[in-house]
Amino acid sequence: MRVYSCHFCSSPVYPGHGIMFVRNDAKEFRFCRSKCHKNFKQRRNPRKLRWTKAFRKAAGKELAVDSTLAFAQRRNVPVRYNRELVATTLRAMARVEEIRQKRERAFYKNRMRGNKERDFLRDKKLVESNPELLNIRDVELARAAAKEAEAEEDEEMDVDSGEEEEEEEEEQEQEAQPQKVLLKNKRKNKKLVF
Amino acid sequence: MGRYSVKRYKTKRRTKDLDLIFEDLTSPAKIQQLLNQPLDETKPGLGQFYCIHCDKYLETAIALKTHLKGKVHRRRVKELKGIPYTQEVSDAASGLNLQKFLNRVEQINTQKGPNKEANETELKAHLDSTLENVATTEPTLPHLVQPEPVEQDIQNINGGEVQME
Amino acid sequence: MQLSWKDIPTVSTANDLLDVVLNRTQRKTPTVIRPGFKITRIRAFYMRKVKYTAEGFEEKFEDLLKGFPNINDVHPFHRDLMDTLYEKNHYKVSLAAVSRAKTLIEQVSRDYLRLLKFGQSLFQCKQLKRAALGRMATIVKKLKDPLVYLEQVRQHLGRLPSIDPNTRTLLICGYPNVGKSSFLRCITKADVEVQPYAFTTKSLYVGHFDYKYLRFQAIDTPGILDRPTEEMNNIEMQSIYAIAHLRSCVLYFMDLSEQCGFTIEAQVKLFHSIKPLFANKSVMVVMNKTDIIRPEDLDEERAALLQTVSEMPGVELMAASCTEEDNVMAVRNKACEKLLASRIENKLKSTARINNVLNKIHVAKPQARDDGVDRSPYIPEGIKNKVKYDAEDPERRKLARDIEAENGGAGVFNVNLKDNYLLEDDEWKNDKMPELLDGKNVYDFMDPEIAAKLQALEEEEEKLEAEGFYNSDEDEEETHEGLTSEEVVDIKDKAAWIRDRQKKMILTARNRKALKNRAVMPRSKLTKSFGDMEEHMSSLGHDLTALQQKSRAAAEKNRYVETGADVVFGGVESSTTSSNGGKLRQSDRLLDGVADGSMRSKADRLAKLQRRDRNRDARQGESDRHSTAALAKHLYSGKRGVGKTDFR
Repeated sequence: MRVYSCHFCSSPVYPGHGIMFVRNDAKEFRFCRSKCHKNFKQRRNPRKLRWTKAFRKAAGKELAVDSTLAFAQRRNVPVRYNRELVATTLRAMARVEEIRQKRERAFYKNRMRGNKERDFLRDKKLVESNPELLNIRDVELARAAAKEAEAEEDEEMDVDSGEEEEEEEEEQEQEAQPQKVLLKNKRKNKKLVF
Repeated sequence: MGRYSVKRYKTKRRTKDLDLIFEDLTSPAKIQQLLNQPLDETKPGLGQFYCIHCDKYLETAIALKTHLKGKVHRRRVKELKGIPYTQEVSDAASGLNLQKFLNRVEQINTQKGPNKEANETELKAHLDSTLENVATTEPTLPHLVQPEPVEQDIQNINGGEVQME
Repeated sequence: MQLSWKDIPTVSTANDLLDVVLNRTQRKTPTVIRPGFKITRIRAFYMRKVKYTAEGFEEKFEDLLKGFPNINDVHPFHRDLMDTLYEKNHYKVSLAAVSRAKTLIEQVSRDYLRLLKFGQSLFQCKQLKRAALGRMATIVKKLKDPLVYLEQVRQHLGRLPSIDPNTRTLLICGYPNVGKSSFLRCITKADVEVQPYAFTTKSLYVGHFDYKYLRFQAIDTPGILDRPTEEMNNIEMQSIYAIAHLRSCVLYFMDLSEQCGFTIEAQVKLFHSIKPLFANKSVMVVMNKTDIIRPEDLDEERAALLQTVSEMPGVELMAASCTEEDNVMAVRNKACEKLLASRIENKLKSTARINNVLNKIHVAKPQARDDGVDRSPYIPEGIKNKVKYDAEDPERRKLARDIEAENGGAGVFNVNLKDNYLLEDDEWKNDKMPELLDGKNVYDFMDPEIAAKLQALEEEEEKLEAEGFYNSDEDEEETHEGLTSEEVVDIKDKAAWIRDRQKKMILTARNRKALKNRAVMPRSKLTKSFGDMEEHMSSLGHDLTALQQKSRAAAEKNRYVETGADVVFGGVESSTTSSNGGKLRQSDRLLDGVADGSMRSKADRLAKLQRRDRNRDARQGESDRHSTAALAKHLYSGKRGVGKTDFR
């Protein structure tokens, strides 16, 4: 059993997954999923599609040449099983992977190093070139602040007059009633007028 | 057929892959073989007008000439520059057989690439010289074809007969 | 190769053929044509007729030519037989005549079709068609004699016995009336006519029988007279050809009693004269009619004659009697045995079969590549010294199969295939090695020098670490020249807000532009209130106090001021209406068009009355004509049984 790598995107192809195409010169092409297979059939160049490993390596997005990558190799000389050797191999694999990730991280950081400065300059330029929008922002902030202050005040009020609320409502109802009466009166009055 | 047609991508209609064409272009013997193909009635133009870059048989010399000038051909030539994408490249990208891949890249850059360039210039010169006298447009009307060669033929035949007698 | 011709289609006479084909044309092609039709249609009509007729003739002739065998392609025996029976040249000429007629008809149809293509009128076309069909008819009529002859040949061919020249055959021959047919009757089920006169059998007859589960055919031939072959008649020639061409066992019949009318001497003479034909064949001489005279009873002179017959190598004498069926079966069996023996001998002699097999076998031998290098096969020492396994030997090797059997047999015990591994330490044999680790193939990493390589990598790593390769300034606070960190954060906030705002603006603008199933409103018709403007401007951060003051002053100026009349009529109302600052200019619609209060109340009452019915039906208005949910049918129809309607 072997984990192959996808011809198109270089991701691992586990046993029982993907599809294989054999060209008439007996070259094997394994694909991890139908997406890769379809793209291959359309004769797309993997180095031009951003989602493939080939692109990422070719474009310098990932660590392409490194001593940690020199370990995996298909050798044409068969190696007989040896318990110690396999044990060291397994340990080495884990360690190599660890180092690789560390270096990958360092590589990434190095790649992103100038970004903060650049981003800040862009931000600064944007802020400088849009004073009118900043005006709007000020207004909004001021309003928001005012609203907050009001809400705080309301809360304070609520705390003070927790019991008074009911009374107030009753009062409102009472106030509403005379109004209705008034309306009725109004109509009657009008009729009376004519 | 539209932009994406399943028909075009059937295995039945598969054409040569770029890496194979690249290999062809690096060896002069192979180029010679592809340029001088035997007459084959199953191929367009009896297999006499072949474009190596595009793996395409054309009907006539005129068609070949226009094809070599065309956008499609030039695009193909551009695609064939650099290192062809093979399983090795893919493996190397996933961290397998990296050293082997680097060796191959080295080989292509120092040896095969220049070889191919030289072959291509030679091929281009050869095609230019052979296709130089070919008209760029096909004669559309029969009266445009000059009748002289036919007469000559007749004379030749007559002459031959006289000699025979 | 074809051996019988029983399914040749019947050959109709010339006249019948003509009738059939012309009739078919008449039936299968359109018949109505008028001079008013388009000329192309008329031409097509007649061309079709001509073509169809020609095709009909061609088809018929084709069938005929296909059905009859080509005399040169059949087995020589059949060829000679047919030659004698039907006269080879006559047969060939007849078939040739038919074939020629076919080509002629093709030609005629082609010519007339060409002419018809340029026919100018219906009449012309019709005449051309008539001429074409007429010529075809003439050609066919000329075939009258060949067709009659071919029909006779067909009938005769069909009745010929199907003789297979290559199978196991007993051939019975001899003078007429010596008992050949009766022998055939005895050994097979063939119903051959047996009569006590010469030349009862005038043609070949075939009977079949089984011997040793093999199928044999016995062929009865007409009698032969002793004379040169040129003088022989057709009947005799048939037997001669049969003897000459068939690979068989020949049974030469003799009549010792001379009842057939030929002396023994004549019979022996005949045997000697046709002897050359017996080359490569097993021959038996059968002395028939032993019921009348036995070979032992013959006088010396005749016995001596018989002796000359048996002198020929491979000839055996046997006696039999067909009438008493004495010794017949013995003769038959003897003949069959002889035949089989000779056939097997022939087969062994022939190289064709061996060559056949040899042709299929190809032994590839590798070509020597480089001289001087010994490329002898490598056989490991262990294998070379191995003793050949022998199941009988008590000290034989123990096989995995034996171990399996000892431990309970297949299905119970599994042989451990790993036992034969060649490893440095036998303990490791049953180790399970992981093949994959974290999506990587372990085997790709397995390398005898991996420890050294890893060591090198670790050293490199340490060096890098010492160099500060991995030091990062991630957590440091961001500062830029001339700015404090707070300012930086502020600028970032602002930029983020601006981006967000721009995005929103774009979205709203897009939304505004999208019609979303609404009509396009002209800009001049869209009204915006002062409030809208106020809101917008203030959100943009403009100071609006001046504008607000101006508008307030205008409103103040426009405010409704109570007048004396209002005080008289309005009373309380005035104070309420003036709340929005404008005048109440609308009259009360309730009182419009009504004279006074009593009229109003009357109108109210009428309206209420009118509404009452509607409300009862729960209708929404005058135009509501809906019917309420229908009752289930059983609730309002059908016979009423027990009880009242109301109780259902």
